[in-house]
Amino acid sequence: MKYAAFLVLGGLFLILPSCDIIEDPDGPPAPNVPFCTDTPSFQPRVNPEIKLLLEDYTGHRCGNCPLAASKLHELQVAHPGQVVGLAVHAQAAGYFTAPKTGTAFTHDFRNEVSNTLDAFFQVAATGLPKGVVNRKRVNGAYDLPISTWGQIVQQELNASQMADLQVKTLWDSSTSSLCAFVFIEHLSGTLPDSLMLSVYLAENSFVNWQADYSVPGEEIEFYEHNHVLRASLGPIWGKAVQLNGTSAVLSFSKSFSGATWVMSNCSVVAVLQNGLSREVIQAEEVAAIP
Amino acid sequence: MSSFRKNALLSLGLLGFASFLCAQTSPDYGEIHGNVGIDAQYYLDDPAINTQPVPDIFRANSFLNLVYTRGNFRAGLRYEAYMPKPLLGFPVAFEGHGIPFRYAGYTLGRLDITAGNFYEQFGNGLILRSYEERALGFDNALDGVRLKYQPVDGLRLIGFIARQRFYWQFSPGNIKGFDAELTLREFLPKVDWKKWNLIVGGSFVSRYQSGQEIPNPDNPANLLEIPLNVGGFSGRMNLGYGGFQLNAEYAYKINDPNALNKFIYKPGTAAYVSAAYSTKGLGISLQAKRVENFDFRSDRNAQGNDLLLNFIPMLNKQHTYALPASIYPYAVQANSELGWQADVNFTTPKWLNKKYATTVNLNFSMVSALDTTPTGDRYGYTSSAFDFGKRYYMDANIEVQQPLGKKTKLSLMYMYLWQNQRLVQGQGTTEDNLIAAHIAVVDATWKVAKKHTLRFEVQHLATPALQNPLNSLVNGSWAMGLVEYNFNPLFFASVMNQWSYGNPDEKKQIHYPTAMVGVTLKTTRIAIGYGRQREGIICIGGVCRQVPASNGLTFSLMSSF
Repeated sequence: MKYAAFLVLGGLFLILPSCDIIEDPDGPPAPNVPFCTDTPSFQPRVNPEIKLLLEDYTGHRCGNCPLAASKLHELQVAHPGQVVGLAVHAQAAGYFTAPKTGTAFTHDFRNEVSNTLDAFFQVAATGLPKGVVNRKRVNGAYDLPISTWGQIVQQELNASQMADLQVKTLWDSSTSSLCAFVFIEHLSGTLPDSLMLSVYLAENSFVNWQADYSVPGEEIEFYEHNHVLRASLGPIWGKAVQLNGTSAVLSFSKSFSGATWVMSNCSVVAVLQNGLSREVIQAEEVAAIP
Repeated sequence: MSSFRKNALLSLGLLGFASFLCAQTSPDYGEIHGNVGIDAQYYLDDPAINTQPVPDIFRANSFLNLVYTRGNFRAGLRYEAYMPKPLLGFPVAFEGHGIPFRYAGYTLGRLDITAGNFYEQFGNGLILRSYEERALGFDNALDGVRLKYQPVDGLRLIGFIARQRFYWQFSPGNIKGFDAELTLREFLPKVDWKKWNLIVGGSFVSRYQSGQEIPNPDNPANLLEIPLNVGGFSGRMNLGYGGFQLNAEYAYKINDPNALNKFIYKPGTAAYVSAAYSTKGLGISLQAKRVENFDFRSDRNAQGNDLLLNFIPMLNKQHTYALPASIYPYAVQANSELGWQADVNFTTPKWLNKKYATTVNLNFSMVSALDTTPTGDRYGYTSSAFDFGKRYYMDANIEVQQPLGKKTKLSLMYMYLWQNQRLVQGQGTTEDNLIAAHIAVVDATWKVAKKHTLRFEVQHLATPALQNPLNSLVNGSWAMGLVEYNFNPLFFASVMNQWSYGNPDEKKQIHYPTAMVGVTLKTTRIAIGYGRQREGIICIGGVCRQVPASNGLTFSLMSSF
């Protein structure tokens, strides 16, 4: 038993905790690809506009989902440049988003970013199509049916603009690396203490199969998928934003070597959000390759 | 099958399973004990109080605890179900059902081993407190391996390595902990300790979490050097002499840049001291604490009540009456606090009131932010040791209990409350939202007959006519009345109404009536209620959650075997 005591004591000390005391918080260079080191200059916009994020939870085997895509397009036409869309194909939607071998629906739209977003907002399992506007609850729920999108979008666009975003991108085809610089400018009101900036990559004009109950046969072979959320350039919930006065510039970069999507069809979507509630303060979208 | 029927069947299934296991108890095969709890609500729309729509109409939070013991061996599990979704106000991430808590362990002489889930607290919890608070929807159980060892009498060692529960998942950080506690009275039994008692202890807790790329705001070309291992340690003592007790703990945490401290590298500190004296008819306690940058979690990005590793004790009276407890409660601010509390309890001596002694409780507490000066670098700020910054909260109250005869008892309470609602509850945006309130409570109990009692409660909360901003349902003055009948121990019924009659917005002058009946049959308590629940905040021990307004029929069952 005495030996057992020593063994146990030894075991307890083995799990003694360790500490990394940081003498200099300034760490290694940001892992930007070489062309992503020189921060471009930004000038505050003369007439900034409030821009919102509408996340369309959708699926390629969801026959009613093309209605939502049409509604998103309609809102973008009605409010030019002010409605930034993302099509989120989350695993929790089950049948609607799962590829199925032996059928035409073999492309897998799902990815970690979509699944992580949905794990928080819990939308996909409530049935598709559903939308989330600015990641805000409406009457207690994030998931909004198509019929409410117009009203909520109008309501959000009527709010006062707290911040503006500008995005500049660089693309290095030799390394398939994308770089995005985001300029954040505080305009009015009090920004939340915890401010996070996310940058996503979305693919447009991706032609593939789509279920659609409104057409004969209920399937479309050459359906144009837009705003397909493909990846995140940084942490999914974003990087912490520390304003230097009233503005800040953050850079994001990622290598997409091996990715199958067409970069020239992709856009970069920047989302400024409250780090606590996830509510979106401002969104911006630019072409991935300028 | 409707969602209601599914839930009803599930609830019956849980009960049946528990009864079956109970019936299988046998001394040859060990013993099984446990308990079952169901809280359910049938929701109704109520536009007057701005209720959220609940498409699933009926929701239930349920659990079943089972504990098996045989000799030195023990094992247990907890099944939880939040279906179709958690009750309103509970984190939506609880949705679903499963067994999030299971463990097995045994004791071998002075050694105790647990594998699986466990709860643990070192000292006052400044660097580690893992616990469950069902009413808050809070559970930060650890999941791993824990050893407890007592090499000699009076010395207790604990070590563990684990991850934390995160709803139905685990924390990204791994936690290691070690605690040693020495009770000198037992360690040195031959010493004549007389009335003295001294316990000293020390703890270490460390989090390992893989790195992430966070740009350095002071030099955007570089990333921050993120510490992967963040450790905290504490030392404590508990000194007793007769009726006197002194409890003190100091904790230190190395650089822990995280989302809540805006990724600063300032080390964190926490100090807590409590002195108490009690003798027949008198109890006095004084407590103080100073907390700086001491929010400690198993994920540097976690916020809200998620993945808390430590617990900062609240130094405010935990009120039990409805209006003092829930209109303007205090939420502990783990990154900046300087506060103190004094509490005196006494019973009037016999010569003053020979027949029925009066019990009096006097309590005062005040908590402020630290007085800080920004440094303009990654270390955030400096602070003075004992200067108060902006005040968060103040509570001065007196409670008197006086039996008026063999059959009646009267309790009176008065409380003055002051709160900076913006700093404490995050309400309001740019300007401090200062609240001052006077609260009075009259609570009378009348024993009508043997086993039959009636209880009456009247409460009033008065606030100044003008506050900034008056945008909440809880603003303005409130009145409350309650009548409760008890037929001990079998049956109870109560009717209550809360009325926000003083809200300057007439549409928000709303009645919140509720009625409840319940029965207690041996170890089973069942209650059914109906009424309105106002929006607000529930706080237990300084940890809080938002509660939205709701209206509907509630059902609760708690049974143990």
